[in-house]
Amino acid sequence: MSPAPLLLMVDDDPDETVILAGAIGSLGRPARHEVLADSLALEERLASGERPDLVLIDLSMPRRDGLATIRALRADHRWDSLPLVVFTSSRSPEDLARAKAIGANQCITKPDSLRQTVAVLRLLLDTYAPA
Amino acid sequence: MRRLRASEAMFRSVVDSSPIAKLIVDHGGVIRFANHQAELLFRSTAGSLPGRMVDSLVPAAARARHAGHRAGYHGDSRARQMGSGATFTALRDDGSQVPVEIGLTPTDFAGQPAVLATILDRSDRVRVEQQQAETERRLRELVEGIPHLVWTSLPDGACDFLSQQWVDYTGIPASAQLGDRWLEQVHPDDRAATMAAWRQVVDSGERFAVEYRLRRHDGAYRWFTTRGVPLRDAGGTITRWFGSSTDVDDQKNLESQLHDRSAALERSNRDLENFAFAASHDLREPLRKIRTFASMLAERIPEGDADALDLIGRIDRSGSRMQSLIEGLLGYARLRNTSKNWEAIALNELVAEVVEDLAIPIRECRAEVSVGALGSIRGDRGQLSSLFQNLVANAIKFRAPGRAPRVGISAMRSGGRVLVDCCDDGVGMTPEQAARAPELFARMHDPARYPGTGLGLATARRIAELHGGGLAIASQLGVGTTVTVSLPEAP
Repeated sequence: MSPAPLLLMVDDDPDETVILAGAIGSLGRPARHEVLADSLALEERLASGERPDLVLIDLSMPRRDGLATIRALRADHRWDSLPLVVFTSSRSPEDLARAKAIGANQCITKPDSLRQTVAVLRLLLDTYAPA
Repeated sequence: MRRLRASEAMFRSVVDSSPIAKLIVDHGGVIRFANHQAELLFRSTAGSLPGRMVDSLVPAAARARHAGHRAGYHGDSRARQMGSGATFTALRDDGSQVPVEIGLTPTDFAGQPAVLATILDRSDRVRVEQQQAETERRLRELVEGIPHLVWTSLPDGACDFLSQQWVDYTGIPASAQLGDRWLEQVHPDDRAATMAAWRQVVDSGERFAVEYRLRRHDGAYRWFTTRGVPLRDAGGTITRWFGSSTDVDDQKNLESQLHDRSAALERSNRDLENFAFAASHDLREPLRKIRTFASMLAERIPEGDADALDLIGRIDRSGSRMQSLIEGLLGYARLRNTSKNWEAIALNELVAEVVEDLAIPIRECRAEVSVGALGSIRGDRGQLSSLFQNLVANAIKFRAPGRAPRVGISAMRSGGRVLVDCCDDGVGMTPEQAARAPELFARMHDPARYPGTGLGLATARRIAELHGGGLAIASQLGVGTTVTVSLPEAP
C-alpha cells in the first residue's frame, strides 16, 4: 500500500494552515500536508526530504515571491515536472496568466468557503496523485 | 546787328518751344527774358515777367537769402546742373508756392553776361515723395502697432530691419543687431538650433516657424515663436524674408503647468489604480477568511441549532455582499481608456449575448426584452458588454411590483454617434433621483427590496465616457426609466 500523498503548501499566513488542515480533514481520503512559510523554506524542504506529490504556492510572499520561485524550480531539471499549483487570493487575470506562462501547472484563486476548498483540493490530488 | 537780331529770334523760338520753364536773369537780378513755360509755371500774365526782379519769385522769407546766393553766383559763375536733388520753393504770381528744381547756366543777353535759369516743376515728385513718406509712416505705424516683433531679412538671411518693438524689447539699437547679430539676444541654449533652423529655411526657401528664448532688456528670457515667409518677385526669386516674433512665454508657462497638472493627474490615477489593486488583495483576503472560517464553524454546529446556523448564514451573506462591493468597485476602478484596441462591434450581437447571460433573471420575472436595429459601433467589447449588462440588469431589477417588465432597446444615429436607448416600464425615479443615480454608490431604492452595489450606472456611465460619449437618464416615478448612452459609430 502506497503512503498517503504528500502536499506542500507555501504560504506565509498562519490562517491558511488552519484552513488547509480543516480541508485535508474533510477530504475523504488520506493525505499528508506540510506548510512552509516561504520559498526558501520550500527549497530547503525539497533539497532534504521526501519528494511531494503536489506543491501549492502563494504568489505574494516575503523574501522571494511565488513567480520567482516557480521560475527557479522550472529551471532545475530535478523539479521541472513537479506539480506546481499557484494558490492565491489574487483574481487578476494578468497575475494568473503570468504564473501559467512561466510554468505553473494551474492557477487557482483561493475559494471562499471550506466546502469549495475541499472540493478544489480533492480535484487537485485526484489529478496529480491518483489514489 | 541784324545777325544778332536774327540769332535772338532763333534763340527765342528755341527757348519758347521748350517744355521746360526758362528765365534769363541779368547780373542786376532783373528778369530779361521768360519763355511761355515760365509764364505757365509762375502763373504770370503774358509778357509780365521781363523787367521784374527775379527775387519776386522767391517767397518773402527766403528772399534776402536768395539775393545773397545770386550775388555769390555772379561772382563765380559756373554751370549748376539740374538733378543735384535740391528742391526750392518758388512763389507764383497768384500767391501759391511750388516746389522747383533749378539749373543755372552762364550766358549772355544783349551782349551782357547773364544767367539762364532752367526751372523744373517738382510738384509731382514732391507729391510722390510725400505719398511714399505717408505710406512708409503708415506701414511703420502698422508694424509698430502690432503686438509682435517684426523683422525683414535679405535673401541670404542677413537681417536688415528690426521693428521698434524688437528694439524696445531687447533694449539694444537695431543697428547693433542687424546681420546675424540679433542671435546674440537668443538664449545660448537655443542659439545653435535657431541658427541651424534659419539657415536651413534660407536655403530651402520654405516658410518656417521656430521657438526660442529671447533676452529682454532687463536680462529676463522669454519664449518667442518666430514665423517667417519668403517674399518673391514675379519670377519666383526670393527678394526678402518677412517675419514676426510673438511672445508665447505666458502660453508656454500655461502649457507647462498643464503638463505638470496632467502628470499629477496621471500620478493620482496611478495611485488610485494601485489603491484598487491593494484593495483587491488586502480587503479580499480577510473577507475570504471570514467566510471560510464561518463555513468551518457551520460544520461544527450541532444539527438542530437553528439560531446558530442563522447567525452563520448572516455572516456569510454580509461577506458575500461585501465581496460583490469590492469586485464592483475594482471593476469600476480598473476601467481604462482602451481606444487603441477598439474594434467594430455589431451591437445587436453584443446585446443578444448580454440578454443570453441574463437569461435566468429574465425568465424568473418573465421579462420581455425587445431589441431594435442597433447598428455598429467602435469600442471595447468587454467594457461595452459590461455597460449593456448593467443597463438590462437594472431595467429588470427595478421592475414595477406585480407586473412582468418590458424592456426595449433601440438606437438612432446622430452625427457620427449612435444613441442607444434602454427603456423600461419599471418603478421609475423622480428627476432628482435620476440626476443622482449614476453617482458612485448611489442607491435610489430600498436596498432590501432592490439589492445592488450602487455601482451599475456609475460603471455604465464611465464606460460611455471612456468611449467619448455619455449617459443620460429620463425617468418618471411609477412610469419607467429610459437610459440613453452615446457611443462612437463604426465607420
